[in-house]
Amino acid sequence: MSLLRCTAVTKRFGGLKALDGVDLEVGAGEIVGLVGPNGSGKTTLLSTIAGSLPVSGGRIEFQGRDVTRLSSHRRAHAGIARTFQIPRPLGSFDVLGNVATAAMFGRDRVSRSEAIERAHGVLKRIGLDGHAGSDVTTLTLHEHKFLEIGRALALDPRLILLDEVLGGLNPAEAAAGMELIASLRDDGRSVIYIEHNVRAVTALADRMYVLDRGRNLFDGTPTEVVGDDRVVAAYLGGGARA
Amino acid sequence: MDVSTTALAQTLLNGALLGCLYGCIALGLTIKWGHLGIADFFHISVVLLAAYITFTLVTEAGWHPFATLLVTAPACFVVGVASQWLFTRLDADDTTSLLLTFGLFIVAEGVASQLWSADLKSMRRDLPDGLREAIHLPAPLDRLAVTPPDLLSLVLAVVMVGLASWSLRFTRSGRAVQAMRQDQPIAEAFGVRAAPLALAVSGLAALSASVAGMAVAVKMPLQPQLPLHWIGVVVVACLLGGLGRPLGALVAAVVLMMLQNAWSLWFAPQWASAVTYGVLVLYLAAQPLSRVIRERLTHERPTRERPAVRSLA
Ligand SMILES: Nc1ncnc2c1ncn2[C@@H]1O[C@H](COP(=O)(O)OP(=O)(O)OP(=O)(O)O)[C@@H](O)[C@H]1O
Ligand SMILES: [Mg+2]
Repeated sequence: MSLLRCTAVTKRFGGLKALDGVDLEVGAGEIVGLVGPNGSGKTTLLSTIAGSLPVSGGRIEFQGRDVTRLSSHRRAHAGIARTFQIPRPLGSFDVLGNVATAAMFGRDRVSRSEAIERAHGVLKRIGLDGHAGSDVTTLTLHEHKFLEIGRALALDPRLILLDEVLGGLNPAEAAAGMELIASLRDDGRSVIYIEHNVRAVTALADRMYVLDRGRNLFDGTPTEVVGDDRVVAAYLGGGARA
Repeated sequence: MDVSTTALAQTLLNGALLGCLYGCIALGLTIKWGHLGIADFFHISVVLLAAYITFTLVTEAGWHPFATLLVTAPACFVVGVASQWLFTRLDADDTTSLLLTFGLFIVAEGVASQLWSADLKSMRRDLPDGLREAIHLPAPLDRLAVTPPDLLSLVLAVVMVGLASWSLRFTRSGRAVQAMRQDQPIAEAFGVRAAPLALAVSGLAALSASVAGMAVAVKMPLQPQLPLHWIGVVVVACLLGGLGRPLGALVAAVVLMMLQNAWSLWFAPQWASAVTYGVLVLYLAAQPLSRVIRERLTHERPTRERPAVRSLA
């Protein structure tokens, strides 16, 4: 049985159809890459899965349960965590506080002290343990991105939605990020991984989906995707940076 | 123009204690304003309405003032929950909610005059003896005296503000409130149940109006225009103290009232309330300056090693 199943998900913003009947499925312990040109609806799809945006149509099932109308905090409790494409740390908390707050209200009810303990563990894992007490404004871009992953991880999710967490990083930082993402699968978590950079996705993903103008363009293994003419065309048409 | 030291000390003391009362009134407002984003001026009217209910229960039914909280506290809580529910339902933006609360603020005055008339209503004669006789401070301050109602304001302010600050800072729900205030979608993505939390916060903030109302009724004669006298100090105290910071509002209210009272010793008392706005203007004018200084300082400091002021641990 798949962990997540999206069926014919549609999202309209006024007259614009950002998602037009998208299907997507994620199995347990699977990394699913989600790629597509700018504006193809990747972030929107992620938001509808996380419950941050209500859908205009279609159905989303998580662990066999219909969650289409569930609010985002209920989905967080059910085990779905997300990052934001543009990092959005809570400025009045320090780095540890950001992660601990996520731990406190996530999948299971955790006391303050337990949450802090768990947050320390997460910071170590994402390599930010040296910055536990730092103000979030002092972080570099790659630290911000890792903090996004850390906050999502602190919820102890079954499914983790990553939105361009490696965008703008240098090769060494990106490599560390890819290792971190691969380790999420080793935890037994499933991952949906949005990335503009197709090559980074193909290295990690078990399967991939390609969106184009709010529709499914293609899905398959990474090798199938990079070998497909339509994908290449969509990317060249959309201004690729593969 | 000679003012004795004792007179000055007594004036400052009275000001500080009156400031405590204003701090009680400001508590609910600063929490709603800072954490729910609603400048709920109606809160100030709720304080007066609660005071009137206290008055009625004490003078007509012979209740002890403290016992009236059994009625006013739940009533205010319900008002707070209902108003937050309404704001959420209306999806009101800042201007709409401001107009709405200000409208209610005005309407409340009319309602109070209708129900309790425009006359001054004092329940002084109905108070238990313990709440009436002035208390002299112990030596060497024995030339100063405080009244029990003033002491009551002090105790209530310390207890309520302490409780609110502590909960905001050190409890799970306080964490959730802070996260929600900063970024509601993020907080919800973390699993914070924002909607019920906002209702509870609004209810508790409004509940503080019942306590403040009781303190008002014990201290001063009631009349429907009182909120108009309070609103200046209360709003300025909220702003000076930092929105959402109960302790800040209390300290600011105490300082403002000490300044106002001291002013009346030497200058025309009718200008005393202008002191409050003067302080606000000075503060706002100093803001850009303090920002420049702060930026200078933080630029020169190695930011990484900055101590974790708001660290969780
Ligand atoms: N809140 C919104 N209101 C209106 N239109 C929106 C909103 N969010 C997204 N859109 C539009 O929906 C379409 C899909 O946007 P989305 O952000 O999902 O694309 P994306 O695939 O994530 O792109 P990118 O690679 O640039 O991040 C775009 O045309 C975008 O302008
Ligand atoms: Mg996007």
